[in-house]
Amino acid sequence: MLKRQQLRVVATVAAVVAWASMAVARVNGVILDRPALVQAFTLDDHNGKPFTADSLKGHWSLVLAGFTNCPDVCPFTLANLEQVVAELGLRVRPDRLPAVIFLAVDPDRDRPNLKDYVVQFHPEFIGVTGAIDQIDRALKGIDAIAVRAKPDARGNYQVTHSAAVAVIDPQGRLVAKISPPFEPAPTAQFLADLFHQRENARAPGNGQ
Amino acid sequence: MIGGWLELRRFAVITVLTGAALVTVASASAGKSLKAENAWVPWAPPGLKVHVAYMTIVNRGTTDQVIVSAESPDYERIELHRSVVKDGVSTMQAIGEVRIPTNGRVEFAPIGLHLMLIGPRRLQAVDDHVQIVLRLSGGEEVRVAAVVRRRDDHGAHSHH
Repeated sequence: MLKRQQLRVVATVAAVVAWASMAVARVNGVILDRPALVQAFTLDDHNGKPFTADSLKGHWSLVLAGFTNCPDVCPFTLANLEQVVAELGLRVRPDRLPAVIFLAVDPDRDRPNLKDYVVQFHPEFIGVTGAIDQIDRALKGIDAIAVRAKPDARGNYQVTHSAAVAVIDPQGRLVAKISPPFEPAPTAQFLADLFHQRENARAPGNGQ
Repeated sequence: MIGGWLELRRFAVITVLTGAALVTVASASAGKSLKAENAWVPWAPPGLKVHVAYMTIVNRGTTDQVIVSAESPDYERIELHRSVVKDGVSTMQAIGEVRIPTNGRVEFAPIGLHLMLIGPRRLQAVDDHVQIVLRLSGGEEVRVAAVVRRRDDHGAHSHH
């Protein structure tokens, strides 16, 4: 697990959006002092193809935990991420646009509906799920939790889960987390800023 | 003497009946003082068993109103829920009632209060209407027609 002191708040209304002064909306973003490599896990995507920690490499990713019987918070987040990615398209090159990955933590109920649930927000969004122990490994990799409550008399149960979206860099490392409300323009600006900063840092003589 | 007593009893009965009638009128109008505005159900793909409804409830009446339950011919059942994001964790709780204060309004909106619609009984298309009945603590009901919309048509942040 990541220690809390490893997390450093870098983005508040004032900090991130200072130079985008028109934006009054909020970003709740934290950037890790040290990126944390997402450890190995093996899941399946919503088309039944393997999805592993290596699938996170080679591009930026936004990963969130949720479940398909979640009618409020999860769809709200996915709908906002769709808008965030659209806004990002105005700010970064297409090859830097992040994959959006919905880590479904309630596999028995999620599997039958996962594709429909995810692609309603964007045809390229990816739903992934699998065995509980592998889900738990993936959750740990994005510093998230999920707790499945005991079923009620009707067999229904709630799932409590982290609300944050994990930002994974092209090396497959957790570098930042963003939390609700995910307002599209400022969140996209936060991400564009982060992407530029990381790419400058990796190019010697080109960085700040 | 006895005649006077009967007269008094009759008066009392009439008073009680009139009072009851007034109460009936009052409770019928209590439901009317409560209105649902901008009610909508985000369109969900077929197969999903849990939907949600959002709306603004406005109370223009002179007494607080309490929503204690909801039902719909279009769903097996409806639960009043509240989503809470606290310390980075999202939880959803069933709640027993929602009080709408006099001259007040309560928003049923994303990441907050919502009606969880369980077990859709028919396929829905955009622009369909979902019929919802809100039951109040006094036994009155408020009928709501919620329009089915895509989330991006409504805009997660738009305020009508």
